[in-house]
Amino acid sequence: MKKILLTCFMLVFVLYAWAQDRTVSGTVTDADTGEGLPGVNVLLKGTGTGVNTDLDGNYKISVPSDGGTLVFSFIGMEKIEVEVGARSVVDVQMKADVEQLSEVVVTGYGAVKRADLTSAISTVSGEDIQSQPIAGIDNLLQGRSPGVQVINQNGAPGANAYIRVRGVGSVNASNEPLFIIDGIQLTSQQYNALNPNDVQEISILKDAAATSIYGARASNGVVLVTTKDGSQTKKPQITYRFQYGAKEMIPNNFEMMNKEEKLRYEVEVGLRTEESADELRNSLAAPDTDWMDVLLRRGTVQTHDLSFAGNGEKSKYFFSFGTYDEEGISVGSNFNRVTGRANTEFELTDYLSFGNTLTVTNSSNNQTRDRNNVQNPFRAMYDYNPYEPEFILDEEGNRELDENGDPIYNPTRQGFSIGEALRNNPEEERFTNAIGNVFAVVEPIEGLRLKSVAGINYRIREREYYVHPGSILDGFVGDPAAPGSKTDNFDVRNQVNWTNTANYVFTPIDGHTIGLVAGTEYIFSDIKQSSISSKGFPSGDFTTHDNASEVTNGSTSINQWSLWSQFGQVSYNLNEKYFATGSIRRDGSSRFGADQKYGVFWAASAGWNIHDEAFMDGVDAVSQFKIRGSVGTSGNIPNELYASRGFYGFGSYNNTVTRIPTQLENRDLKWEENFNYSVGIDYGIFNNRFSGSVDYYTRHTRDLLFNRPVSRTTGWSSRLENIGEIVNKGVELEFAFDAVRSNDFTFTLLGSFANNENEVLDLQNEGEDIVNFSGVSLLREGLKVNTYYLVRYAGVNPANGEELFLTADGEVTNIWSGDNAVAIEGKTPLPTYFGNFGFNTAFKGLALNVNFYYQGGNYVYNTAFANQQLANGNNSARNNQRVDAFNYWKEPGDVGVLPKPGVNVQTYTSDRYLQRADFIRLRNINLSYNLPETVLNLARLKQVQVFVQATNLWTFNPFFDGDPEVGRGSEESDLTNLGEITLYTFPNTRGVTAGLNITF
Amino acid sequence: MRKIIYILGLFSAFTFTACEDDLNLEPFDALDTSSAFEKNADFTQAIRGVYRSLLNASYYGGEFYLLPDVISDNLIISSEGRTSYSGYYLFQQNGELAWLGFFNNAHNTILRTNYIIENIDNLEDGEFKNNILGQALALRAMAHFDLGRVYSTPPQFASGDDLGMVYVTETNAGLKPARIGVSEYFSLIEQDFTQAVGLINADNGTGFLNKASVHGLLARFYLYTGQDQKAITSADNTIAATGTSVATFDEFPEVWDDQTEAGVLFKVINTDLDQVRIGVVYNQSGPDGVRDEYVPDFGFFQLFGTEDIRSTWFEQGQFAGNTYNHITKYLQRPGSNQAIVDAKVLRMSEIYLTKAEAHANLDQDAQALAALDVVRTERYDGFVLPGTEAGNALDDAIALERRLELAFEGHRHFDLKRKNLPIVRTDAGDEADGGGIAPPPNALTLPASSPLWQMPIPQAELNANPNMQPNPSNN
Repeated sequence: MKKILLTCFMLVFVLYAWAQDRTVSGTVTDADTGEGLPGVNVLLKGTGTGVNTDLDGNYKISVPSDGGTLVFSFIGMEKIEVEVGARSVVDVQMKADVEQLSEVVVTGYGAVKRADLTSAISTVSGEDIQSQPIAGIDNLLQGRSPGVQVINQNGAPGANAYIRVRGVGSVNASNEPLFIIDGIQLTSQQYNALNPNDVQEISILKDAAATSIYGARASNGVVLVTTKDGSQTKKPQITYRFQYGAKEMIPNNFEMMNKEEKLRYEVEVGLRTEESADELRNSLAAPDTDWMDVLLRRGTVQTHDLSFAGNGEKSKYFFSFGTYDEEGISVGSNFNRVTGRANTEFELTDYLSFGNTLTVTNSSNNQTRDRNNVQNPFRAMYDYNPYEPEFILDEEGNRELDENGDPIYNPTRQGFSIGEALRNNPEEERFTNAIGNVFAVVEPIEGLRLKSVAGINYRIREREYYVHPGSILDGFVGDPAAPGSKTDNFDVRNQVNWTNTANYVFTPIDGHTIGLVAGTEYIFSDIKQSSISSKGFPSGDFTTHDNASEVTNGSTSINQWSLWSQFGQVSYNLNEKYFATGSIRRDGSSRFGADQKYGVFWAASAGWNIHDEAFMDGVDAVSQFKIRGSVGTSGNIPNELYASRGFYGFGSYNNTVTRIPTQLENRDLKWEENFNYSVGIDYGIFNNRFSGSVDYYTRHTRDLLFNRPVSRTTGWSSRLENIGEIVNKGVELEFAFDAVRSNDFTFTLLGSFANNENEVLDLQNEGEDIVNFSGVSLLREGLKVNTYYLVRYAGVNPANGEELFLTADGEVTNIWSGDNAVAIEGKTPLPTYFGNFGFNTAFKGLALNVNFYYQGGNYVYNTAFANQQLANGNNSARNNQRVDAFNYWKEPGDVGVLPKPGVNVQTYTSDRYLQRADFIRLRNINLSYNLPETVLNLARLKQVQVFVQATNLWTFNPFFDGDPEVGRGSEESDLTNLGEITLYTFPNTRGVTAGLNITF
Repeated sequence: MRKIIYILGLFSAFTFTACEDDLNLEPFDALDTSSAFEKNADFTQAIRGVYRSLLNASYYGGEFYLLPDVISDNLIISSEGRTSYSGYYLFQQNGELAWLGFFNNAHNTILRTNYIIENIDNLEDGEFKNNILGQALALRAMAHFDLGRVYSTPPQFASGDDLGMVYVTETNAGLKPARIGVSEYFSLIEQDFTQAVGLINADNGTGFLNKASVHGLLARFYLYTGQDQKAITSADNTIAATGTSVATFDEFPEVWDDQTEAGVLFKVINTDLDQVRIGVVYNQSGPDGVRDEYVPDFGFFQLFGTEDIRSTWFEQGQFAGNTYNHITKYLQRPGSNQAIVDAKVLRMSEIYLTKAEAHANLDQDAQALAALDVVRTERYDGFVLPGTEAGNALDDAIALERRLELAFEGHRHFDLKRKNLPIVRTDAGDEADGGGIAPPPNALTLPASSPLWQMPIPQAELNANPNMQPNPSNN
């Protein structure tokens, strides 16, 4: 067969060779630079005759006597056709094809023109997330894509974000999307290891049609990150970016008491006598202290980024080097990162090319402890009293000094000085990541592209936690005979993947285009963890364990998982008007038992470009109108690695080995499965001046991975099973309106809106609720996921100031009982709507981009509110309080007041502290100026941009006490769901940075 | 062209190489339950695993020492503490505040014993097998007994339809069992203990049960269930089996920092590796003083005279400007971190006091006094033998001595419960001199008739097991 083809081909060639009679030559140049373009394909239309331009852009080609038509093509440039006519010299200028570049969307194992898409995929351009004072690529996605909710876990430097694509589909397994960079799966801990400036584009796959080719890992959506490869620019281009700025805590919308106020409050509540208050009032050793001033500082961000990009005749390259340094708003919090990247691709022959992507990064952070007591500075700054100074003072108000002449930290009534601990109990983590791949591409015949990718994701984590000898904490937890203790962790994770794909696009009959994808993927991950703990250190200056008097603990462990998959996809389009796609994936996972090792996932979708129909010809106003729909399945794997097995593990008793039951068997355990369907419209009217899309989705999660409670009398509390069903539904809108389009002035309005409604359909728990670990929310059939479950507050008894509650039956009572908790219907931690809006405008070289983020419909159990305003007396009123805590019941008849506080009055959990958390926040405002070309030409520069930007500058917060953007409660008591409880985690920050981008 | 074919060939050869075998991964730190019991060593390790479960922080590793004293007249809460367990202290128990950790943990201990018992016939008949089985049965009985003391009515007061707990004898995790009657429940405990006594070795080393300590647990069981004659017999058996007596006056302080095993019948060993901070439920000491969670009830504190060696369990100290009586019984073992000490479960003095009380109940005052004096002579400096009490005075002396000797070891609540006595706290504050903040009025007493003497069944269990009947206190 091949021989015949070859013969035919030769024959055609010979025929044409015989028909030609003259030569045409010319030079192809870049319209931007005027320089010759090498490697441009010059083809005589309708024939197989073709040549490439030489290094200077010159070419020479034989043409028939009538001249014919020459087609000039080059990747990234607009294709040009020229009638030769009688000319013997044809010079051509080629322009960059902006359209083509922006219109191609990266999809699972391929790329598709946006116009041909049949699934719901949002894209975020790399430019949108570059040069921002935020370390994590995940946080940068906030407000960038409808239906993709991104919430900062907290405001710590380098902190992660929660990403929720189309709601929450899981209770016990992950709700985070699959995150893939250049074909390599990342874990969320690695998001902040990437340099956002390296990113070319991010695709967020939302519906089943897009995600199911990722099968068992795809039910929470897929984020595909593509890094720059140099194809953008032909000439070598050097870019340098710099920015510097400051951050501070977003101010509270309440005030804490000062010294006099707190003393008065303590006397009123009965915690302190008037005499002892007077003693403190008059004491120079107890000056009025603002603990926020003491424990917070101005944070700073500084970044440098240098990159080289370009593509030569047979190669493409992108190299970059970047640094990101952030000092957090508290002593002892910072994040520093150095990144390097080398992406290259070489065309060895017409049909074979090789390449690689590689980033090596090193980051380190110092962490404040994220826990719900004064070992966390962000709780301490509220708890410490304003009459307690940072350092112990003598009667004249001078600092007392220790034997070394250093001031002595005041442990306060909390018995712990966080100021001291931040210096003497440091916790530091360092990460080294190497993420990259090598690939080979073979294109044996036109339209067929075979690609083999071997990737590695290597990560080292080093952690050191040191309780210095002689520190206050050492006094609590240490051994006086061997002071000081330290724990080091060293973890190495090695994840390799090997992915092979074949893509074939062909047109068997004119107008009918068929695309095929077939592939296999193998992923293996191995995590080795080790730790060592010692005590007895000579001094805080010595940190390694060879200085310790006794090693107290040490451990190593290994965990592995693997995934082996085959997948395929068929797509078809008729005249770029009607589209259909079907895909299938079979995944095998090491996490399941022999009976359930494999899962098959599928999807089908269709699209219709209505605006291309003849009947739309007369409707000039509509430039784009497309309908698409999809249906399909995807899966979610459990976090547990060997979840189906029954295990006996090992431990120790009296320093000898024990064996103990550790896991219950469930041979039937399998994937959590999503069944999704969605429809969408893409539209553009008035020459695309007004454009956007509308999507509606339904996401059913079945066989939820869930720890089903078992009778505790069995010795177990739960077993991981597939039970229950959840549904998420929602609408996503996105629009852009080019209000002004002119050369000098543009103004575009942007916006998006998404809503999400979910419901627990089935729990298979005999109709019983499942109360979450946090204890304040539950799952109940017929209600929303994580509906709050609390005793209801019934106000204050005007007669005596007692706090009142409702019983489960709705009777008013003054006795709190946990048995009276009820589901607070409709109130859950997950926002029911969210989105963004803003505008981009440019006038000559000036540009202003403004982006607001909004969300709402969610409720948060506000612990901080409970502790600082409504403490009711008892123990927590000994901590500092908000000024409005004075507004309590004082005499019969008082209404609209807080309950009467007292020494023996408890603070009870109730919906009194459940607050609505809607907000609008000015997420980002960026003003930039591009130097005019005349100046640039003088300096031989391509682009110089200076900018100033501000993040989180303004917030509209009508209901919530404190910052309404609540991610996690507290890392060390990590029992809470996203946005469920405030527990004093690192606060969010606002800041201003200024910077400079120069392109040579 | 040929090159292309080579490359294609290579490509497909790689691509379709099956990686299916690589999906069978084994954990590095566990083995299948079905292969966990094959050799003798497997059982040795498994029985140690049962002892280790006793060390859990909600069992003998902490809470099981604390709560029976918190829900009693021995302790009051410190106003400078972290309000830990304050709901129990204030008698606010309900389904959500029902000692769930202990409920889980005691049943996990039982599960570990049942795995051993179910597989015991993998061992050859003989002494090794008997000793393993004996320990497993005794530990199973002990955990059931602890559950029964917390959640059930003592059998001697129970009416016919009062409920015991579930007596669990299998490892099936799918069971949703119902409770059985009180008397049946306690007789199953007795049966396991009795069988264990006949099987277990006379000596298994420190940290393990042996014949003497199982006799001792039986004595505790019989006294609690009002079977005085059997309590005396078991106490006598214990004394005979050990051949030792209570810790002497001089030895006594060293019992608490693990410097001696004198008078300790059974304790759970808590190593520096375990890092179980038993005493942290009482207080934490830091550079600026000891921060208490609970301090002794002032009236109770005054019962410890200066001539009483047990007064060394207290230290006065300042915290946040006030002076408190700190409980230092579990403060520290030399060389270990704070609050890490072994968990003493059963001591000889309890055996003598049990014997004394049982004799007194049977109006055998002479034997009762003799047993009481064995303890008293080693606790009071200058105690003049013999004691002089008789009749009611003797009963009171035995009760007093028991309260003092076993304070803060998780007995007081159960002693009041089995005698059908109320909790009566002293109306005095938390500070060293009785000043400071006193218990709120509604927490000063708990009448003997209160349903709270049967801890509510945890709501989590009621939710997961529809056959589980709640207690009267659940309402």
